[in-house]
Amino acid sequence: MLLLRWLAALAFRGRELVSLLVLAGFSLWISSQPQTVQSKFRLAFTGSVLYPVQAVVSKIVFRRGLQEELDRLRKENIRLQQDKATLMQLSDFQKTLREFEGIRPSLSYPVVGARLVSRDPLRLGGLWIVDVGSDSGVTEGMAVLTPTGLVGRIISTTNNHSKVQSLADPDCRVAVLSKRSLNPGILHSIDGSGVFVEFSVTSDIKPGDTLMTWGAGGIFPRGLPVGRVGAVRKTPANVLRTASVAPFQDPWSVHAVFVLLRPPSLRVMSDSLLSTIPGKTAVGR
Amino acid sequence: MTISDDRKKEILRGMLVPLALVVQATVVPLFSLYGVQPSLFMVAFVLFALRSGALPAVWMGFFCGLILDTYSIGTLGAFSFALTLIGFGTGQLHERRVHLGYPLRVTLLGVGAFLHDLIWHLASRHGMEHLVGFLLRVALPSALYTMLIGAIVFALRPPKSTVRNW
Repeated sequence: MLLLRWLAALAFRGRELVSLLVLAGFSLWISSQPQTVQSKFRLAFTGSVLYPVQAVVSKIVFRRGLQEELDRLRKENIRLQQDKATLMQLSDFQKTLREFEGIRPSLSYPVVGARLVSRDPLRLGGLWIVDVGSDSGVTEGMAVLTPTGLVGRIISTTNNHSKVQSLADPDCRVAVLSKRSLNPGILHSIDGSGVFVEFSVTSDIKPGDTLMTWGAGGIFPRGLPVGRVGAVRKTPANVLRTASVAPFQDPWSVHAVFVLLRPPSLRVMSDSLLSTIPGKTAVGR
Repeated sequence: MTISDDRKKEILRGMLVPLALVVQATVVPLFSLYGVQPSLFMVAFVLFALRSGALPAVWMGFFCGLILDTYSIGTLGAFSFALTLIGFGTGQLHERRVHLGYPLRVTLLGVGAFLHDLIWHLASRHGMEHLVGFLLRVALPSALYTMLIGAIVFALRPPKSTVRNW
């Protein structure tokens, strides 16, 4: 025991030399072994020491590759989501176009398709911006419709964009007729949340009647579908009646519209003349 | 358990040698001139031995040599034997004990690289008849090329102590 302790202390003091002797001796011994023994040793060393190191390195490299792949897929996913949104918009627009083809023959004027690019956030009823302007032949006062009915009119244009006043805008008034009785009324909105028709007590307008544009003033052509009459109520003065109207085209769900390219010369009253009448800034006669 | 900065540096230094081995096997062959390659591994190994001393250098040399032996088709143990001896010899000139000037360090590298090839050739039992040709055509040009690379590396990494100026 004492001898072992003495040998250990000696080895520790001269550990550089001991390491050299042990390792160099081992190297020489293994180099003198036959090829089969060397092959076995190579295999054992590769499997026990190098393979675990290689496996760890491979795993790290693999995980890094996975991370990069994940980042790439995330970016691609965002791009695909954007593409999908764009395609859905185009699909909606195309669907509207197809629907419109059905009613095109009934229109006497050419139309131009447009997409809504923004809505006025301050006016509930809505002023909208569409992506066609004077370059496409659009001018102030033209009717804006969808395949299901009238939705508003152009109130100003630039080269590539136009501002649309929707039926639900409190400043918008449209002269309408009951399709059944041909009695007139004025379509308007009080606060932008709903649309109403106001008519004389003598007018024959009943719940369920279909309303269409009158067209007498020339801004809107006659016969464009507008909506269906709901509940009728009396006004306090009892000279007028008011009825709620369910528009054929919900103004909130409009994504694509068509502008009826009706020449301004066909209008009976110009917009500048209309604007001089108090409270009748945009009446379609 | 916290690791001191000196220990971290030692670990990092120890990792650089196997890294140099990988670079030696993958990148360095691209820089061969007329079939002669520099030994970037030998540069890193001599630097390690001078910085860390004989004991780490002996073990580092043995294991790196064993890796080279395992992946080479030659005699198993030849690289490990040569590198163990070179590690021990270079480690005797540990920076804490001896300060070597820049030209001497570069010369030491060249001598180390040449001796390594000589020992490897002998340990591989390739035969004495090829020894002179091997030394003149392979070992000597390679050692000179290694010295050139080492001269750049050693200029960037001067010794840290000035114990005794040789």
